[in-house]
Amino acid sequence: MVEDDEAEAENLRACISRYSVERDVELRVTWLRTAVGITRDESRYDLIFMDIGLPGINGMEAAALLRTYDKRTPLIFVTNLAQYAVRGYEVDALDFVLKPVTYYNFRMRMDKALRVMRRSTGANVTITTRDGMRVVPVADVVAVEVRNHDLSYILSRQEEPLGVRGTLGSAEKALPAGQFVRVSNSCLVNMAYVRSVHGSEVATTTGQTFALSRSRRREAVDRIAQFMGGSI
Amino acid sequence: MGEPVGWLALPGVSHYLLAGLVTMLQETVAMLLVAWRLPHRSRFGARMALVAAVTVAGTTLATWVGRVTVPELMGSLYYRTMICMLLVSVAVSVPLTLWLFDASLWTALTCVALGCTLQSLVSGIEGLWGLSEWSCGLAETPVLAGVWPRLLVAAVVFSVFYLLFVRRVRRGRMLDAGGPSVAVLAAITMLVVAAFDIVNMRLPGLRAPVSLVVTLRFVHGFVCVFMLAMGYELLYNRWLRFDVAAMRRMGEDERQQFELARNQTRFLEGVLDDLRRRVLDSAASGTLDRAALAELSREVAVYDAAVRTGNDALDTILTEKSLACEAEGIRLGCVADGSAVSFMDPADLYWLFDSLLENAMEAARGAGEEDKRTIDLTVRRVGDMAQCHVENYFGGGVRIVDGRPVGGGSHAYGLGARAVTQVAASYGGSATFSLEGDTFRADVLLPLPEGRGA
Repeated sequence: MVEDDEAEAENLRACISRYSVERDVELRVTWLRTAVGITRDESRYDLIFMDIGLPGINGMEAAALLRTYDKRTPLIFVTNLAQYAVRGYEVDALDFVLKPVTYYNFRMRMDKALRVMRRSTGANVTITTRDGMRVVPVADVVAVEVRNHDLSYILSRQEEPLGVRGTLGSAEKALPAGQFVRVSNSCLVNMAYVRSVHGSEVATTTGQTFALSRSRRREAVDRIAQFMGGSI
Repeated sequence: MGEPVGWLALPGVSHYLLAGLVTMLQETVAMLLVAWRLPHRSRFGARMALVAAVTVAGTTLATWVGRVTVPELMGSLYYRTMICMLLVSVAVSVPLTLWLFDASLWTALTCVALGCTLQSLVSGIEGLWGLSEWSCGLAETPVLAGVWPRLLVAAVVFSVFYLLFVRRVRRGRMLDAGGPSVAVLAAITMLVVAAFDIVNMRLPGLRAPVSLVVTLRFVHGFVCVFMLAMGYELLYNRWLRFDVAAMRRMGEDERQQFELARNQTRFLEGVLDDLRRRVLDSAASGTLDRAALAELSREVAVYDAAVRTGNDALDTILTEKSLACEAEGIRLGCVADGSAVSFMDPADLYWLFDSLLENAMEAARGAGEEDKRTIDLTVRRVGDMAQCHVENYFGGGVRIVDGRPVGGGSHAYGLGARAVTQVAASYGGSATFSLEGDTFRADVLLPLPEGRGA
């Protein structure tokens, strides 16, 4: 947590401790008084609570700096400036907690943050191709398509999809359930890559489009909505 | 390959083919006219071209079968053939409509049925024209044969229909309001009207008195017009029930703004008075009471929530709800990027957030502990979509049934969720509701209109 005001910091720490006991999660807290620490500090954090009104470099500027070299670490802004906080979306803030922080408000946000963080932290999927086994981070799998028992894993970091024999059902089982959605009988899409859903097509941030079948549309779009909202 | 040309050259066949094509053209245009305001699917032009090709091929095939290979079909089996043709054309048109437009099955059926009724009206007027020419001795048959007169009749009828009905349909949402009941009603009506027309066409040939045929033709025409008007009236009323409430509230906007301003002024006076007293107190006692200051800052926070999100309609509704929440001791935290939802119609937007927050407030009231009376709203843009998330604690018997929350002791509870789902669906998006432990969550996802994306 990055917070200059001691009382606010204590309040937040108390919320975190209570949460840790209630939810039975071990949480280790580091308190920094200025944002300078966060941009200098090489140690990686799992989640950052960032005050916006900080002395020197403010929380928003610090977040922008952080994002130049770290796209992933989730950020939650703690602020009494809701209007200003909207800018947090530009630095891909996970969420906001408005001051003064109350426990139940904090709990709601923390639950959501943990749901989002648990999605794919470091999970890998093993794909057995003709050339041997490949271990791929789940976060890199954009989609899985099947055609005549040939599965192809479309990956974000390479042009050529990985081809394997198998069924979509088995691929679905091997991947984390909360992260992928069936858009048709022959395609699974990683919801983290969904850029838009228009009519009968799902477009991904990697520039591909996948057909969205009519029978699956409603369920798929509902799941994407929940995923984007951090509800699953 | 010489065969088709060969049978086309048979006496009268090319004439029948042409007549069939004109009828199919009328039918297609009629259905398109009804369905036009529905969201078009991608590569709409290409799909249309394919539909046209299928229609021409189908008509050619039907003409060949009916006039060349099995002539009895248009002879002794005439009525059965025509009824079958009608059913087949509906059975083919519904999936084609679904393929062209992003609509539900019921909406597609409604469009096809209204389109067929419209075409039946055209056919009835053609019959009257043909009959009058024939009885005046100007034509050899009681059927209007010329392509141009037939197209003229269709053009006139379609134009009138467009002016009276199609213009009233806003973005096709009205067509969605009907659901299964209106679709089935329209389909049955269409079958009756079309069968009526088929019989009428045959009557002059059976030497029925001209006066009778004319009367029946008029009756048929009136039934068509009446059914079209009824169908639209039904759709319009159903749609209004959902939409007019939102519009009326937007109309009251100015009065509300005034009251809002007045409430805010009173509230501010109270806060300032309180502030003055507390500062005086702490000055007198020589201490600065942290808890008292924290409470003050919470009260002042409502001005932060007197929201400016960059979207007037969103500001209005959020400010209004912030004050309502404040009055009930509910904490409403919103971090909303108004530009993400700027493509929405203000009435829709107002309605969406009003329903979402009413729902949340209803649940938060029953949440028990004061600390739990908290609602969080975020509105942001994700990719080429607008995403809204509302989360709050709830108490007392709220359940999710059929994807929507019910219970909570208020009838309005489920209705609010229904309204949210409706608005989301009308923008091609989705709304979902979920419960976990003691928290209630609503997620709305709306695709940005094409061209508004990055």
